[in-house]
Amino acid sequence: MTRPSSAWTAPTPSRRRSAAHAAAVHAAAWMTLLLLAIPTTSAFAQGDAESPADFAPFGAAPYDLAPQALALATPIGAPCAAVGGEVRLAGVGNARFDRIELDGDSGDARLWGGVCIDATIVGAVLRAEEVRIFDLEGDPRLQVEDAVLDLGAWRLAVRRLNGSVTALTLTEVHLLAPGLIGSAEAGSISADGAELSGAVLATDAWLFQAERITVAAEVITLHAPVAVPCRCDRPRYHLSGSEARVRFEGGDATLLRPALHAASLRLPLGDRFDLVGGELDTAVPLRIRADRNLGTVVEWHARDARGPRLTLGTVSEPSRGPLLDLQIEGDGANVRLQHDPRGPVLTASQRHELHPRLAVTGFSEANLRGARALLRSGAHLSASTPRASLPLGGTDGLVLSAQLRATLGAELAAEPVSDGGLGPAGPRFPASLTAELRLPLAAAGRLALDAELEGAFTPGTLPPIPAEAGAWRGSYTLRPSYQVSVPVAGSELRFSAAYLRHAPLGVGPFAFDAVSERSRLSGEATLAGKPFGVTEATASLRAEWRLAPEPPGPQRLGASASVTVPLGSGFRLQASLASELAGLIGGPDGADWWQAGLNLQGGADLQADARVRFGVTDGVLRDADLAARVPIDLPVNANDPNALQGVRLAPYLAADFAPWLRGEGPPTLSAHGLRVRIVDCCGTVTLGYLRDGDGTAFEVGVSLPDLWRDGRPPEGPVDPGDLPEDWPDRYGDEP
Amino acid sequence: MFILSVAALLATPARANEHAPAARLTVVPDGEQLFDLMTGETTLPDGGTIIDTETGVELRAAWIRYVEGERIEARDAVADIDAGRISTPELTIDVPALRAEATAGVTLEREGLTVTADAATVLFAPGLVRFDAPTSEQPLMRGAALLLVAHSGDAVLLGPYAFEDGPLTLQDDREDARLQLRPTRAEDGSLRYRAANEVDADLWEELEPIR
Repeated sequence: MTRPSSAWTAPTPSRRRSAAHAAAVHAAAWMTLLLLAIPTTSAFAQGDAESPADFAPFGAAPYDLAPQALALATPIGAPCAAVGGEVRLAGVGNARFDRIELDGDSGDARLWGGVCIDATIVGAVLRAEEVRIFDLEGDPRLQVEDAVLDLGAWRLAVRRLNGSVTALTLTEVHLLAPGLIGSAEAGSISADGAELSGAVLATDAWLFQAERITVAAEVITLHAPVAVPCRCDRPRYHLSGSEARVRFEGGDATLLRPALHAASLRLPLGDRFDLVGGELDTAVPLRIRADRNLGTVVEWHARDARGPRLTLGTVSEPSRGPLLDLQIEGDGANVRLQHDPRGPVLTASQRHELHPRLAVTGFSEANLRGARALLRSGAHLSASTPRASLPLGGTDGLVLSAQLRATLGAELAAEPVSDGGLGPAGPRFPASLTAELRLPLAAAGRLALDAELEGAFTPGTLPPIPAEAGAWRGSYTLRPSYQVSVPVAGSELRFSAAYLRHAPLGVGPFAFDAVSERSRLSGEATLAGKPFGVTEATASLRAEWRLAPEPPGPQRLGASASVTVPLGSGFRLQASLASELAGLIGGPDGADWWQAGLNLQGGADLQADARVRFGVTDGVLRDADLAARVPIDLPVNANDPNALQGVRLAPYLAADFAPWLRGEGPPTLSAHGLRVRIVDCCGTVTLGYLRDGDGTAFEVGVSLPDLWRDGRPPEGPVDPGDLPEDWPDRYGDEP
Repeated sequence: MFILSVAALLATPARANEHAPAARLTVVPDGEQLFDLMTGETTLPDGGTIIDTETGVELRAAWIRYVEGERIEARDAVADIDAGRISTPELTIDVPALRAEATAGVTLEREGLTVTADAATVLFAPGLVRFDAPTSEQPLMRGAALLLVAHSGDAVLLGPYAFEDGPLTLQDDREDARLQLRPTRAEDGSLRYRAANEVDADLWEELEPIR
């Protein structure tokens, strides 16, 4: 039989897929771990640390699938075609074939010509050109060369298969599934499942090596696996774990008890790691972020999907200090302890569902942050109605939908002050009623009303309730809104308007439930469409206006517009213009102010961009920023696949011209930054920083490369011209 | 005892031409025999035995009627031929054609093979037997037809068929399916079969008269 040539070959850089399909960049990933692990993890640099240079993922078996190439045309899991001769081997399964010879004397049988065996005893479908069965009268044994074995959702291409029909031995195995290919030196299959040894698996973005693999219906489990994010000859880093589970369709994997190996160091990464496509779909254990209240935050996460979540770190504001966040959840219970320089917060709750719409929640809270701490403990009973529809009649068939929620509670509360003095402490009985009304007006838009009435009764406190407070307090909230979408000359105009009224009803003894007065009218209009064919344009106007009796505050107006123009060859140019106007109007004498801002930004997929921003306060130009980022590519040796494939520098500078425009002095440097993108055999690493008036931010990311395969795909249409004329039709309904 | 010689059974055509039929057969009635002068038919209402003195074929039946040199009709007959022992409620032998038909059910017994069929055709001269809708307990099989070579025991089962040997069950629902069965002597002396779904060309040609 002739076979079409087919080979699975190693990727070359020029074959790499587009960045769109490549793994997304993650802000904190491998390089973060590498950079931070090296100086801090000498304690991990012992034991089973494995040198990446010793890891050779391609030594197990060659990617040579030519002998089974034709059988790959059959979809995985396709049953044997129900045509032709059939032989049933008692207790094993049924076989289809073109030819059969059965020797009743010797107890041997030979089946050949598109043999397909539905081996129910091991839950597999076996396809081969020839199958020999021995010792039919005793313990039947199979001997097959170049077999294709469909096991659950997986396909095994086996060079040799022999042994008892209840315990088969496999030699030279290739494993196939959509998005996954692998090879193994040997294996076995029985009613308990299939097991492979000396195996290598490759997904689009990961390579796994394991001493042992168990194959189940939808999941492959790798024992003591090692994973690298590329097919480079000498990976610079890799992952190991106690176990990896690779799922069908796409080869997504979960690595249990993962550890990172790099530069002879071993760094544990927690309990599990999800490898989805080319991305590290996991909460990366170490993260650096900026927080409005805590400044620069460095966090270390220890996460387990079924166990407690622990975060340890340090913060810079309001003072340098430790950060702790421990959260335990399960069966409706939630306990969380948080601590930072502002103080500790401990919350605990337990929810019991008495009915799908009736629940009791017990809770305790100890918030020792700030000058006035808070201690609470109690229980709430909450109930809600189903969303009811009330026909309003009329020719338009208007239907009003409504839902009510109510809460009753009993609790003890105390607010000790930070200097050790006593604050109010006593029982408290809160209640609330919330209503949601929705009235769709078909093409005329939708009306909505959200209303809430809440209050609390405090019969008495220690010390006694002061005269300016009362036993009753409460508040009400009303928020009517309207939104509509109208087509306008091929574009879409979206308009929304809302009024918020939030007002206190009395004053209680506790500060934590004090209510701020709100009375605001807001609206937004957005026009979006393609006014010039392929050019996408969006323009919007926003406003938020404070009305009496809310205390005076800044009124806000804003406008923005953006245009996206395709430039061809996959490039798009996007320009945006945004302005904000805010001011205190009608406030106390001498307190009026207004400020305007203007942003103009243009850029393209080339990563070059520019921005202009103006800020005016009380008629005085305060800011006039001009910022630009221009990428620069450094020369590299692209001919060496193990060398760097590309280095791009993108410096960023922003200057404030306001002092110069005011005649007060030269422009000042308001921000600077640098982004470096390094492409090598193992992926793309992005490093960067940005320093501006808000502080310094760092960017670290890794984009993983794809694997490429050549030759016939495991699934998909097959050109009949590739098949020999005598190709037997037993392999499947659509060979 | 009335002895009458009739046509030869299971003789080759050459032998049939070389010897006068009347010299080869012996009829032994178990009771009275009736001779019809108008038709020339002889009836053995109590049955009897017809023996081919040259081939040793022996036909025993509970009722026999024959016309010398033309045909033999038998009821509840048992015949020992090269292919084995045939039992049938009704058997008709065309003497000049050396052909027998059993149309009301038939059973063949021979070493390693016991077949029951709806009907059977025996060609004595080439030594071939065709069974229609055969079923067998040894070996376990069924099919649309079974073609048997008397002297070798080679057989072809025509589809749709099913054949069972030990833990294996072969079946093919196609009407053009064939399964060749060739008897072999096992070490313990028992007779087993080799089965193949492609028939030897020589055998297929040999079976041409009864296909």
